[in-house]
Amino acid sequence: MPTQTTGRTLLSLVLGLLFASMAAMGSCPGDFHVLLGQLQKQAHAMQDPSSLLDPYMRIQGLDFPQLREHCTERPGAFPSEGALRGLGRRGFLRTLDATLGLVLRRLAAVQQQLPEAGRLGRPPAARPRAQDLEMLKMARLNILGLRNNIFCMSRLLGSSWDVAEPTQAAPGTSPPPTPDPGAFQRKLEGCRFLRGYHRVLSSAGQVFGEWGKSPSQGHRHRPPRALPEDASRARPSRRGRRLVPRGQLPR
Amino acid sequence: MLLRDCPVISKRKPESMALFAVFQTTFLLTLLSLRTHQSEVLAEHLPLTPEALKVSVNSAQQCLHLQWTVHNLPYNQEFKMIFQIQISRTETSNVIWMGNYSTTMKRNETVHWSWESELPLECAAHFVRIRSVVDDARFPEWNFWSSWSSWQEVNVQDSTGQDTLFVFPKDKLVEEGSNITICYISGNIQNDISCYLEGEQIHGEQLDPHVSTFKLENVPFIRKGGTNIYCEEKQRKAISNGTVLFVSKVLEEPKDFSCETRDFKTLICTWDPGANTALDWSKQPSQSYTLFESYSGKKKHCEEKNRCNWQITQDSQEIYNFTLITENYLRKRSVNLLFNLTHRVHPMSPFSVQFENISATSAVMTWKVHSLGDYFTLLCQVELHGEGKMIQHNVSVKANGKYLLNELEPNTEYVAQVHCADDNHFWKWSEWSGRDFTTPEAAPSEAPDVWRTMKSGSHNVTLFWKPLSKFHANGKILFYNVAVENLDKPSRLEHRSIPAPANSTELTLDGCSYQIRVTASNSAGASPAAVIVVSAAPGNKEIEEEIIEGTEDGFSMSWKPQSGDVMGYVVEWCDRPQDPLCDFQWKKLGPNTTSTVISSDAFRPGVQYNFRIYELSTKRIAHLLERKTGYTRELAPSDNPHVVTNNLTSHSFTLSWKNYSTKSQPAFIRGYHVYLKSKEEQCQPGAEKAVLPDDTVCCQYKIDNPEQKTFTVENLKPESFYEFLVTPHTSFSEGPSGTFTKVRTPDEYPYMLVHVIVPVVICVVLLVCGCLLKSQWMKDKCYPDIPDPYKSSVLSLIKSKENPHRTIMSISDCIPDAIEVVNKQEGSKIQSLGTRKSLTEPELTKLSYLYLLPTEKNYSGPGPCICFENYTYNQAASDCASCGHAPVSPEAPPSQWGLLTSSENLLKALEKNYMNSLGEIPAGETTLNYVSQLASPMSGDKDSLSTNALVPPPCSEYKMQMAVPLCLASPPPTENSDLSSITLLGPSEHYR
Repeated sequence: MPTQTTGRTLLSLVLGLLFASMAAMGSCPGDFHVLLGQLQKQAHAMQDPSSLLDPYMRIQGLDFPQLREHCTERPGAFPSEGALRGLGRRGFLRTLDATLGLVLRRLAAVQQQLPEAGRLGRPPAARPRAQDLEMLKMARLNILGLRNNIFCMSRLLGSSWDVAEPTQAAPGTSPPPTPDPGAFQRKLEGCRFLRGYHRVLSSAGQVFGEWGKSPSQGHRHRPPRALPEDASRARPSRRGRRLVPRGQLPR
Repeated sequence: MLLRDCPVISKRKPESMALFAVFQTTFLLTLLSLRTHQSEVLAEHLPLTPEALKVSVNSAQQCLHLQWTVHNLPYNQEFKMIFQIQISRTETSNVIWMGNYSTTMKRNETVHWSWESELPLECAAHFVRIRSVVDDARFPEWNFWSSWSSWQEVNVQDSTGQDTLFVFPKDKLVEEGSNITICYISGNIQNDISCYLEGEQIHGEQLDPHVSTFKLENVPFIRKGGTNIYCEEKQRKAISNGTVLFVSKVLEEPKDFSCETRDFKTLICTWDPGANTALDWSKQPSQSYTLFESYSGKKKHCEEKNRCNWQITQDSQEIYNFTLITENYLRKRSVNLLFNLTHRVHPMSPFSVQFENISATSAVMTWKVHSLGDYFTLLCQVELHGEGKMIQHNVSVKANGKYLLNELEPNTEYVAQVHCADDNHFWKWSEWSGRDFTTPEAAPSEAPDVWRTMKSGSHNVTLFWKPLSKFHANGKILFYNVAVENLDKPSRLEHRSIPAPANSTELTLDGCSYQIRVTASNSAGASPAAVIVVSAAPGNKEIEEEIIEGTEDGFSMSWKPQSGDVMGYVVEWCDRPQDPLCDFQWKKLGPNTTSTVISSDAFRPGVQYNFRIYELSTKRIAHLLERKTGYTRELAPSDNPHVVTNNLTSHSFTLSWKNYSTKSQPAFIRGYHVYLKSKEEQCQPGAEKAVLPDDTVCCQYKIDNPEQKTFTVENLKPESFYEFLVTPHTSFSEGPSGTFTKVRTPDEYPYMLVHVIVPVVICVVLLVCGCLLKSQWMKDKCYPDIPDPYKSSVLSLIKSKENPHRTIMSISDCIPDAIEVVNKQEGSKIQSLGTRKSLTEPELTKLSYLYLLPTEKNYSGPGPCICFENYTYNQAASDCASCGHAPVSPEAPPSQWGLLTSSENLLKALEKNYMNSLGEIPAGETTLNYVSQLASPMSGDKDSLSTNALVPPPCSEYKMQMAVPLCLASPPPTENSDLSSITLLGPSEHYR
């Protein structure tokens, strides 16, 4: 099982790095179907809880049956699959991008809270933790890769992206001050957040799959044009409204 | 209760305490002077009850901070007082702790005191009250307890009426091994609640209907992320709440704390930090390290966790007293180190390592060191590695080091390295600095070891030499020089150069004596010469081979010197005697040596090795001294001989295995065992009973001569089965238990018969051959050629008779249906030759005829037919009769023999035969060899035989067939019995 996980992680890391480097070099795949295939693969790989949720739970000591049962997505924290389907393509991409941006920020916050055993020597018991920390790093790279492809797809669909740098997380809004619920609740909350994250990616994979089935999507390099959805950015309509995930990882 | 973790706040600051100590004496004197007055005032019972009691809570540290004052203290002076504190839990009557706190205080001064609770303060309401007493000898009259202050309630968590479950303490930081109490407050939750520590349920005790506590002892460190404790409502199966216990590892004391300098500018202090005590969620960072030097009073926070650099000031401080302090949120530890700086010098590595004047056997090594000052001397250690050896030399160095490396080997790669340490106060060696170098080649220092083999009967000499060892080669051997000098007559030296790595050469010499000199050369020169003399008369006499016993370690052998004046001895052998190349080896021994042990890694068990020992005369001529042969270990023979059986008789047979080679066996063959199995219980003389591994019993014949390869087994029984096996035997075992070969002795009577029958058969064959050679003569006599009837003179006779009933016509004029040939025996023919009659005449007998019979199926009565007479057969028969084999009837007149050539007589004879054939012929009298059949076509069933139809009417539908064996038949000389065969043919059958 660890070997399988490591292999899958390695594959996803390679994919993430590949796509990240592609976008960093400014080279987006010009073929809609190629790009869509990549997005589907990424969403499929990242929906697997072993890529992020499982290592998180192991690090936090939540990998017990009772806790696993209760690590469920908080309703409303992320847009449902139905809501995602209801969005237009650009709206969907923006929502997904925003979700991933939030996950990135929360991941960074979590990683800051997790000191590595490094400098003082690593006892044998710390090795699994080091592996899990490494998986968190890889998950972050994968998210960056997916966001880059989302950016590319958005450009391919002719939408001007309102995020300057797709690989950099936008500054997040600080949550309102609330009484500290305690580390346990924050751990659980993070768990539920990541559960929602994986579910959203699963839903995103479904949506991308439907894009592939749709006969109207064969166009390539369509020149950017003003679309109702683009216009809706300034005045969000009901349909094109950007759904922002409300879940949070503990920080 | 834990007091040490809660900061106990006194009413004074440290500065005021110091001031208090200074003026203590003065203060006491003042007090004494005022004693009388005070006594008067305190005599009144003033209420000294603590007032203004305030209680604050530090939830994280589970501490209650109390502060109070005593307003009614008289005078503005300090009183030594004791405060008794009571703490109740849940309700005032449930006092869980009571203790005294002694201090000195002034009037209206605020006293601070803290108390740490084992139970999280959120778990239950706490109540506190205080009373006091003056514990001052100056005022004994006040030495009574005041009234209790009113209870102060501390209620951190008010969960009354809430539907939420709370678990406390929240995110508490504790050290590994601590004991801790946790609790949950269920509020209005009525369901059963179970709590778990890392998945394992824990059991506690109920403090009140809504509060349960759990005591955890010796808590372990599990992960940096903390130990999760959570509770769930059983009925809802929902995690209600939980907490994380952050268990820190115990901070370890730094180990191996050490400081040293390499340049008198910086002190480098290092240590082993032990486990990292950092925890997740910023609950506790890694422990910090601080270096404090007591003489200078300087302190430095170390950035790294296992080392710290300390700048040495120029104030020539020699002694340092360092304290390394490490601390985290829970603990502080420190270690001390006192040292003299000059004793902690760790020199830097030497540099600029060079080699000068490198020769084949020596080199000069130089290096430089970083200067530590004029007063410092370094001890440097030079290590020389080469040829698997290591040599160390110590050198004392101020600034530049130099050392002569001698006794080096030519053409050898060396690695020389040097490190240095303080010579006065050794602390540590520096790191190594080194380089490698290679000494140049030198001429080989020793002559090659040379030996030769000579083919017997020729002047071909093969010269062998062993490659020089690296030690003696002093470089790469490029070629070998061979110089041949004729010793018997003056001639030019013959030189030959053989490139390395060849190790042999072949020389063709004549019958003279030669001196051969062999040298090995490298790029630096040639070796001393190895000299060997090949004598014109080798004089190798025939020497018997001696068997020696070898061991795994080799062959030990000795010899007897023949002449006292020898240069030495040489033992030669082949490492692989079974290979064509043999791997020729030799060993040279001194003149005083008469024994040696020959060992080789190539020696294998079961291989026979042959050794020749030569004596080298002072003239360097070799004489064969002895021959030895042996095995390092004899093995059991792996094969049995292939045996051929010869001379098999009814009483013996001979076994032969002449192709079996005793030389190529894995042991010395000492003889053979012949095993014989038979049904006989007793063994023949010369054999003895033996039991085989399969428990069968047989007879064993022993042959002790390995060269005897035939054996005759005798005294056997005829027509009996025997099984034999021939196996070689050595001194300790015999060959494998192979398959027995079966032999069956023949019967003795057929043997005798052969002796009789064979000559008879030979005689018969000879007789037959004689007959064959005389075959023409026999043919002429026994079966001459058949004459052509058309050319016969009989035709003219018939015409002359003019018989209208008889004619001879061409066969082509007839449509024959069947042809029947009737023959008559010779004897009868001869008898009837003179009585030729017509077909109707009854006396006409024993003629041979051809009949043409009708073919119609419905032919049923007598009718005209055509008959042929065949005189030819009669002629033949008469001829045959003339051979004299057929018996002649005594009634036949001798004159009939003479009538065979007369046509008239012949006709008569024909008629007679013919008529007789129509007469009655007793079936039983026929003596013909031919098969005869008789059937009646009238019945239409040709297959039904009729044995009685022996008198057919002339030319009827009966058909007859007859064949007469020529010459061989011997019919009786009666007229009635000469018809050899009668066959009844069907209408569709053909003449045969």
